[in-house]
Amino acid sequence: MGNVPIAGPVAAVLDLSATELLDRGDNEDEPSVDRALTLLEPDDAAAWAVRFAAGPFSKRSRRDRLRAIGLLDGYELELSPVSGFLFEADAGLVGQLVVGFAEVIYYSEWQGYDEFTRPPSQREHPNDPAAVQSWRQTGYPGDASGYAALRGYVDKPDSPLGGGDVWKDLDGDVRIARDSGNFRENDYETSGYEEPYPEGA
Amino acid sequence: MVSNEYDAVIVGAGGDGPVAAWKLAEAGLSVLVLEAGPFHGNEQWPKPHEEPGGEASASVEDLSGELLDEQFTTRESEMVNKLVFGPADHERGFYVRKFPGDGAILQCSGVGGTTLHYTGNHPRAYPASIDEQGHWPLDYADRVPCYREIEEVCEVAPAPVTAKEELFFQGAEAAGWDLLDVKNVTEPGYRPQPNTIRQPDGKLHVDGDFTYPEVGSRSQRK
Repeated sequence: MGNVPIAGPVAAVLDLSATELLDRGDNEDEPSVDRALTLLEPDDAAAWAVRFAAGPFSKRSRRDRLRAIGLLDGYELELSPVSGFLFEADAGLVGQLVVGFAEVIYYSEWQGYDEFTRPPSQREHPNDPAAVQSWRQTGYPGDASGYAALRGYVDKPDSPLGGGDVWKDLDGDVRIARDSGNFRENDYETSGYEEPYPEGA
Repeated sequence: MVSNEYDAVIVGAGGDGPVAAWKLAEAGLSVLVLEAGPFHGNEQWPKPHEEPGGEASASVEDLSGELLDEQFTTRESEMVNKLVFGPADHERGFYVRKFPGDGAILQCSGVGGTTLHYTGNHPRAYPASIDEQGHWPLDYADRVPCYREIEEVCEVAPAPVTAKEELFFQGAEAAGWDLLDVKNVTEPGYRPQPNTIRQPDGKLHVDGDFTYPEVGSRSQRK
């Protein structure tokens, strides 16, 4: 598995999308460098350095950042066909990288292997909580066959879901109860449906 | 032992192929199921990602819980690697999938298919996704008896709530969505997953943080 640093390129693409959003006038909030500063913790870089380095993306409001990521769907990646392989992609992939790769790869358990590059059957994962960054950060003690984590089942009065003792009240009249109950068989009506990708369009 | 001829050949041992094979075999037909991805927990393929292993498996004697525990771990990144959407031999590349718009579908390859990471979630299709699309050769209503049968076999029931779901349900309710308690979903709303995993023992109930690592008497409440 190669080690490809993607933080720089991803940040550059996000900055491009944030600039594009502003050019189009599609932002709802004014950019502000204070947004980048609010994320700082005591041991992070000095505020003046962050003010200097903060890119357009980090200055957008949360909703505008999401809008900027949405714009990326429109950037088609232009590649000439190489040796017959089909390859189609657009910059929407960057949004998925930002959302998914950090959790699934960077914050995964991979640091805990004795030797990560061996074949799967020869890798040892001693399950040492101190060896994995995200486990240290969250106090996670390592994986196990099971944890006691049952809160109960969703319950609502006059619904077949839930039943038995009520263990906790949530919002409205929704509660968490001891029994699961069951789903209800119902007639259905689908005439209000609009097909998002009509055939032949 | 693989024969030269079968009454039916099913391509893919994912969520649906084995069910089709089961129904056809029950009707008296000879059936072959083909699968290019790994078969975890099967002694015919002790190292499914490294060596070709056996040719076929036709006996429950081949199934090994010990091997399954060793190969199918609770480590997420490891399993993302093992269940990559492509042949068991990853050097042969991934399967290409095209779909309109952007999105990521985390599909799994292997015996069990995408059910392998589907956490036992067993919803019916949305009625509109069958009835409003035109290209299906049957109506949603035709599928309902099949759903009923398979839901009974798999003991489909509302999924239990952990801290994550509790937070989700609280948020959905506060945002004004309706709790859906129906099997055929035609309105927006939220609901617990229809789940095929056996429900946990009530003794595993906790009110605060989950407890670990041993699920012992200390962590249990009545």
